[in-house]
Amino acid sequence: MIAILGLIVGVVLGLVLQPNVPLALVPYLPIAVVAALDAVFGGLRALLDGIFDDKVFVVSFFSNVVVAAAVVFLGDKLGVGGQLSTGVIVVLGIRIFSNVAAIRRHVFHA
Amino acid sequence: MSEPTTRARATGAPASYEQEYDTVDRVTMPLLQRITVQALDEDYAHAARRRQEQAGATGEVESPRSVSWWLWLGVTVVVGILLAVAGRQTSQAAVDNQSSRPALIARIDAERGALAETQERVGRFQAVINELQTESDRVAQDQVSTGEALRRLQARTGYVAVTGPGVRITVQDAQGVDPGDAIRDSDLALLVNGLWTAGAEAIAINNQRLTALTYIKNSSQAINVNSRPLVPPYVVEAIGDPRTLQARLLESPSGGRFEEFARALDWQVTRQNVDRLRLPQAPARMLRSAEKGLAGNEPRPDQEGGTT
Repeated sequence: MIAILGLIVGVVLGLVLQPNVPLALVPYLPIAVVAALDAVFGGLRALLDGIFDDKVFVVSFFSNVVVAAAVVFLGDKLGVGGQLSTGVIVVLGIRIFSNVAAIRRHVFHA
Repeated sequence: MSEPTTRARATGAPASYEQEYDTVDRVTMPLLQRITVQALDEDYAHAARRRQEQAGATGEVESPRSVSWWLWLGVTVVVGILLAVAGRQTSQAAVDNQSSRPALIARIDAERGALAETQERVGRFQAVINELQTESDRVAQDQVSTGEALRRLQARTGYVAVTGPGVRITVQDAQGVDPGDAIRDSDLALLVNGLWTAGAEAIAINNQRLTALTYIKNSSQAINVNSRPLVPPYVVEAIGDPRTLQARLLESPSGGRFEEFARALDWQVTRQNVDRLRLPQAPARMLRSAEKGLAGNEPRPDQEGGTT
């Protein structure tokens, strides 16, 4: 409930406030979002595994976002930004999938 | 989704990735499998194991940390904001792309039309330039030929200085001659006529060039040419073929008569072939009554009709 509530509040805040993203950061925003989703699902799975730690979660959340954006930024500077962002998306996507699968096992016991 | 706080189960710390797999397994494990196995951050397992060890050391069983509502709310809000902003950016970029495409196409079309128009104008101007170039060439040619004609005419009529081979004839009265027997205008006119007849192309007397308007006339003692009084001796210079000029002069009637006078009145006449004579140009005279005629090659209606 709280999660859904927080998500809705966040979306509404984002749409209402329309924070101005610096133009230089715009290409890294989708990567940052995917990294944040990965951290969230990871945290959820840890919670269901019973090993959740709020400090670890917060640190992993922000470090994931920053590192993913930094890797893509570096790739842009090296001229392989597209390929590197694809790699990051693939890795994070697989992690999200397997975490979601673990969560599903916990919730549905299947 | 169930309440996070109630889901915290007191279980033993699960084995971490490092515990579960030895180094060889980790090195040889396929990349995709490794990603799947490592899907959960190992830090959770580390933290859980540390907590368990602490609990074991102190002997008290510490329940796993519960999740505070505020943390959960804050994180989900942040995720929501991120999602909203990213979505808005993407849709905006799509809108920008879509709206800019037709505008660009329209601009391309417009510029293409303008380019075609400009090229057409360039072509037209090119044609005009070619026409004008032809005209200019023709005018330049006309100018050249007219200039040549003018120079020929000036040389022939005496209004430009000329050089060439010819004859210099110096005529002088006999010593102590009676003024009545002195050389007169008609005598010089005879000589000049004879030279013209003999084929002279340009004549000057005492550096006075003879033109179509020149007269030779006595006023009291002096002979005037081009309204300038001449001082004896009279030097008549004629440009022409030096091989034939003198002989033909003698053969001509007026030249013959001049010779007779010269012999009879005992004038001192010296004839001299000169390789290179330089005759000055005559002073230009304004024409007041005579008007410019039609151009040389054009037919003259008045003459064509008048002469039979």
